[in-house]
Amino acid sequence: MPERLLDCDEVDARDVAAGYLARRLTADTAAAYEEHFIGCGRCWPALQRAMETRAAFGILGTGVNRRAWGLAAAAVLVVAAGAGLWSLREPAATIVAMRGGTDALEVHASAELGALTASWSPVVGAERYLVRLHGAAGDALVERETSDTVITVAVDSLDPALRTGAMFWQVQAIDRLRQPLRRSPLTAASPLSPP
Amino acid sequence: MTQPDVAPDGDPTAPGTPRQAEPGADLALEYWERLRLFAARRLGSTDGADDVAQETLRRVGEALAADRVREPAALPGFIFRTAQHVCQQLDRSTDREARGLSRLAAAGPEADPPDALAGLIAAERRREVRHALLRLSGDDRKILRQLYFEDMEPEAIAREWRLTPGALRVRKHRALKRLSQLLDDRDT
Ligand SMILES: [Zn+2]
Repeated sequence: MPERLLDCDEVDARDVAAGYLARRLTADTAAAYEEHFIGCGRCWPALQRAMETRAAFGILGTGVNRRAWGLAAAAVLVVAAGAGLWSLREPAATIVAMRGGTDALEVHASAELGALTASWSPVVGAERYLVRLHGAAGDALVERETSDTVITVAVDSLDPALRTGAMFWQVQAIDRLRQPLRRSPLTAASPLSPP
Repeated sequence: MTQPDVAPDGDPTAPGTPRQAEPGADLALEYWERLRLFAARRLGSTDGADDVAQETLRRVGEALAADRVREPAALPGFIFRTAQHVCQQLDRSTDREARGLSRLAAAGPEADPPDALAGLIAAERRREVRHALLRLSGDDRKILRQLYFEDMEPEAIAREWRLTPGALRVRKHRALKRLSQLLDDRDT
């Protein structure tokens, strides 16, 4: 429980968002800020923009060790491919037990005319589908939500540096409370990218 | 602020004053990304962030249906504590595996750890923001880089620019506003 709550002016005056992303805050201040931004319509968009900015500088080639990330992400991707899980790490058994059916959702992938397409059969009770296209290093190259059962991504819309290796689709059917109904294993996005 | 009138993770059958609770999809829309960030930062990686967000929303939905959150103003605090609880449970059960992975990673070359939070932003969005950043003035871009990427203390940035902390904040807001305008232009 945070010791005290922050207000918007204090968050701004102390650059708390930057401190939070940089992990400079004390545990108490970070918790106070978390409790604040979870409910604040002004500070949450500001934090999102700060995160996006941080992530974008990461691909401007200033400082982050991409090779280390690639190695680490590739390692967990192998674990995920074997386990067929949505998340890249085995979740707690208690949570698996509570979150309902995890029968595999089968994704059909194709690649033609410079576009990657994934399609799947409708899942009963599904409100939407969370779709991710992962690169070989585990990066989410594309992240979309759709109520359709097909999605197409133009290859030339992908970052040239990231689209050269194997790519994998992963689709999760969710209900209206975003609870998972079924999820697919990682599925090679084209015949050229072996699973 | 008053203490919320809630019982996080309590007995869902506990008695409460009946009320029209509508734990709908709005809850998920509003809190999904916030919970993913919360979880990714606490867990130190994006692995498991979706699971924490989903499990938190499930428990909160149950609590609303059972009328265990009586004041709307108490909802964010309740969500926060529920998410904290779910994170702790997940963290405990994955501790062993994480330690194993750390040992593997330690065997490799010395390197900065990957930034877990960057993984929450899809590559296509990162590219859009990068494109907008490249269209900012060099000064605006440098201030945002120092603040949000190089993790410099605001006081140190202000000293470098010979600005007061207040004046630096004004420059930061201006740079963020320009960035937002560039992104809005791109979105429309
Ligand atoms: Zn606020």
